[in-house]
Amino acid sequence: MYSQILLKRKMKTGKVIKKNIKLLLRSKVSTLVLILGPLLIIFLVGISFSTSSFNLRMNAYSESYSELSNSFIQELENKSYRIIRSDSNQSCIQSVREQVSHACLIFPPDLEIENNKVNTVEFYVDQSKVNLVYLVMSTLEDSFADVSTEISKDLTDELVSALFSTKTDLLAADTSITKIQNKNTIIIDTSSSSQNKLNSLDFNSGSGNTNVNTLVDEIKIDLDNLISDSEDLIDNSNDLLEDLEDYDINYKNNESNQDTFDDDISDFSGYISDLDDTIKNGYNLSTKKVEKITEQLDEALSSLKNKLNDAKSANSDVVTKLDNLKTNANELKTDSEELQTNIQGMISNINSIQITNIENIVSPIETRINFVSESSSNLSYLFPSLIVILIMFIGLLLPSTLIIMEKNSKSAFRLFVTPTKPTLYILANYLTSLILISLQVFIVLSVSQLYFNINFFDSFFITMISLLLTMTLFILIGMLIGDLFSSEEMAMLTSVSVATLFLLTSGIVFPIESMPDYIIEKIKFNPVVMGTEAFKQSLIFNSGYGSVKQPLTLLFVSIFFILGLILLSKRLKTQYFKPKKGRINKNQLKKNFSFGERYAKNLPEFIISVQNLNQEKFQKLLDDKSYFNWVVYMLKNKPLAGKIKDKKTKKEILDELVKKLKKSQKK
Amino acid sequence: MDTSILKLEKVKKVFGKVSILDPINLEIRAGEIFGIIGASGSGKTTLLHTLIGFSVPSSGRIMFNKDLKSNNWVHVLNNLNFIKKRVGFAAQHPSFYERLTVYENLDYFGALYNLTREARLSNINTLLELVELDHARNILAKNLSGGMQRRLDIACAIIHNPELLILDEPTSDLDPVLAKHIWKLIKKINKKGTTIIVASHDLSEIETVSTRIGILANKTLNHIGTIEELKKKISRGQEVHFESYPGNYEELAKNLKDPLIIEIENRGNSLVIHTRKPDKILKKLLITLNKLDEHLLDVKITRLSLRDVFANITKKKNEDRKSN
Repeated sequence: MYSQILLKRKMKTGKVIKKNIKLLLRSKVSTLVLILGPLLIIFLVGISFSTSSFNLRMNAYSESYSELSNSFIQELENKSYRIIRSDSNQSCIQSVREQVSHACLIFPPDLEIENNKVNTVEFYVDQSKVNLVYLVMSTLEDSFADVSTEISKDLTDELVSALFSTKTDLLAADTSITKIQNKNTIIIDTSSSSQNKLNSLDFNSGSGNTNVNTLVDEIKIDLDNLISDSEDLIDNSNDLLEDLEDYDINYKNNESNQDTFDDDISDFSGYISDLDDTIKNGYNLSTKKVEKITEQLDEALSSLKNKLNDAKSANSDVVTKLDNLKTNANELKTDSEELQTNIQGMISNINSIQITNIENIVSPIETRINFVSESSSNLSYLFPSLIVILIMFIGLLLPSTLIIMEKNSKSAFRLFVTPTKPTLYILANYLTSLILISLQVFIVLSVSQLYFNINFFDSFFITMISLLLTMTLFILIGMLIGDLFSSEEMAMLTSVSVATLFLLTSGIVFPIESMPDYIIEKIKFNPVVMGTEAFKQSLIFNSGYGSVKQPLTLLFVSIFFILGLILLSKRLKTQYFKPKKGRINKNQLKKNFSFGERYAKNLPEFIISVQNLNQEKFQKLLDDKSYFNWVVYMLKNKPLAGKIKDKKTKKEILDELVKKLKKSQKK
Repeated sequence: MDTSILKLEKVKKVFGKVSILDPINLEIRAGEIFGIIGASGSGKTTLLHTLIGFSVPSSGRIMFNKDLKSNNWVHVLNNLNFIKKRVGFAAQHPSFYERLTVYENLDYFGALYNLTREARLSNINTLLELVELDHARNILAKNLSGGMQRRLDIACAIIHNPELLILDEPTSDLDPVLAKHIWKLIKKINKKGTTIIVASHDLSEIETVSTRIGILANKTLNHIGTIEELKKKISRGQEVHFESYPGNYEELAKNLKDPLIIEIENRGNSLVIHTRKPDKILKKLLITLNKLDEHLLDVKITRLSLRDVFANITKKKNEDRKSN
């Protein structure tokens, strides 16, 4: 029996789903929206986000473009941004206001890097384009930072080259200074030596002249002595001759020797005589010459004396200068030592520069942003949000449209006259929407898998659970909207409004962080945030169940909450499926059960009143559920009312009532 | 068979403080076609909705005889699911899915009535033949003509072979030819044993089709009976219509005073005399015309129609209300 009912219910649900899908598919617009819509969306999204760059248009203006400003523009153009040169400052800014371009760049005239010149490039961006303004600003800053870095590199390169060239020069200078110092030392030493030597020179001519005179005198004396000696020699020779003559006599016994000896003595006497003459002549001549020499020497001495005086004066001057030179040389030595110390300090300082690489000086810290997910394009990381947004829009619009279509269709009335429970429509609408959205998501995922290389098989199960729960939540919200409103326009408007609200508070359009803390706290309950979080964790990060536990739990709880609201809404708006029951007329109810001349007020009186009813009246009141209602509203005893609710005979009802009476009497 | 299938006991309907239906007592006999006529806004649709429990009466009760042999009456509101299976309802505007074919519509509603696939197939074939839509079974409902749509709507209402079929204005928006077709269909359905309650403003047709008629006027259904019974009850005799020249109808009316004349009605370009003895009045009329030097242009005697009965009742009620 139960299985038959279940089978019938399944059959009915299947029929309603089939009918819903047929109706949607037979509407050309619906088909277009449902089938081609997601394909179109993913196609457009794929084209839009498949690259990592953005197509930005920028206007630029400068009174006079310089090579540098042109290089900035070129840099932006190299990044595939369209740069239009404006005619004036105002037209450049106006282009941003009119949204012709995303930014206006105003370069100072003749932009150049010079000392004491501040180069300010002004950016004008449209802050109302919140989603783009930061991107534009970031792009511009990056581009200008690139060019600035290049310039900075050149300047630093120049600086470093100059520094090292200086170092080389300083090293050479150091060597030179050492050489200078050595030479200086030599100069000092030489100076000292020269000074000493010069100081030791005697320029006194007086004593010299005396000496010369003395010497001349001595020569004279010597000459005199020589003459005297010669005379002595002659005398001696004469004596000798005499001796010899004496000797000759002795030697006359030897006639042959006598002759020779006589000859020799004669010769020797001649020689002595000649010598004497010669000496005398020489003496005379020498004396003359000595006198001449003396004269010349006097002259020379006089001249020498003068010259010596001059030399002495010059020597004194030279000594003084040498002293100055020495002093200066000593000072030079001190200075050169100081200079050398400084140069060595400079060299040491230059040597102490550890970072000499230009790249490292200009960008000492290199930043590299690593993505926690492997993605090659914007589409990859936007994909979960896009899928959830797609689910949200279709999930809100489709079931609400289905319900409103049903409500406003010609067949709406017939739904009431068929024996079908409201829950069947809830289930059928949910399943219809789920099937169609699943189909669309499947198409989108397949296209993404094939053409955009977005792999969702790595964590297939969790991804599917996330998708199912997200779809369910949005479908239920859509169904709630469909239940609450009766016109398609209002449902559509509400769906779009709700979707917009979810979107704006999801962090996809505006950064959540820009909102107040108390809102950030609540935003995690935004279905888009929950869905995106779960889907992102499973699709991009391939996280396990642990990572998606929280968003999945929130989704699950939200689903039950919305389901509760739908059932409540159905209960409150029962006229759609079920007729409103009239209010219980308590006065009439009271009048039905008379007790004597008044109406029954308590259980014993009610029992008597029921007992006294004739069969026809009893049946009428039974059909009207009057016994049940009297016990509920007059006696206010719902448990007892429940017991007599399904009783069909007077005896059965009275038995229950009496049983209750006895129980209360016992108490 | 003179057994009732449905009965209303002091059924009253109030929306807020506005009373729509004053206590109504009514019994619908099994197998009959019961016509309900009433002016627009008189509460016909509300009454029909109340019969099937779509609108809950403010007081009174509606009973359905679930077993004609044993007269087992059940309260409609307490047995809605049961009632839905036994009653068919065709609303004033066709109620089906325009983007489903004739067959699909019937199949879908058959499924909602929990009919098995075989039962649905059998019923659909029979019904398509009955409503003469067999050739259009695969045509989308929106592409059907007005008359065909109305027939499809009726077919949807009886896909589950109900014992009672309620039709609300089945010929509204239809031209006379199509309307005739529908009335013919209603008769055919009735001949198959289905009791029919039909509300319509097509008085001429309902007069010919209905077994009994109830006139809903001034929130109540006081006048119930066969056409003849109603005519007898309401009739102000026959009508003598005439036109004369120069047409001094006021003077004529003054000179025509006679106990046999129930009422004289000056319609501007003609004079209508209500009387139970038209032959005698006609003689007097000729004498009076001669006397007043009026030349008779046209004269005809008509019998009272349902329209007249209805108009009289409505008029009388309005007069009563004004006098009160």
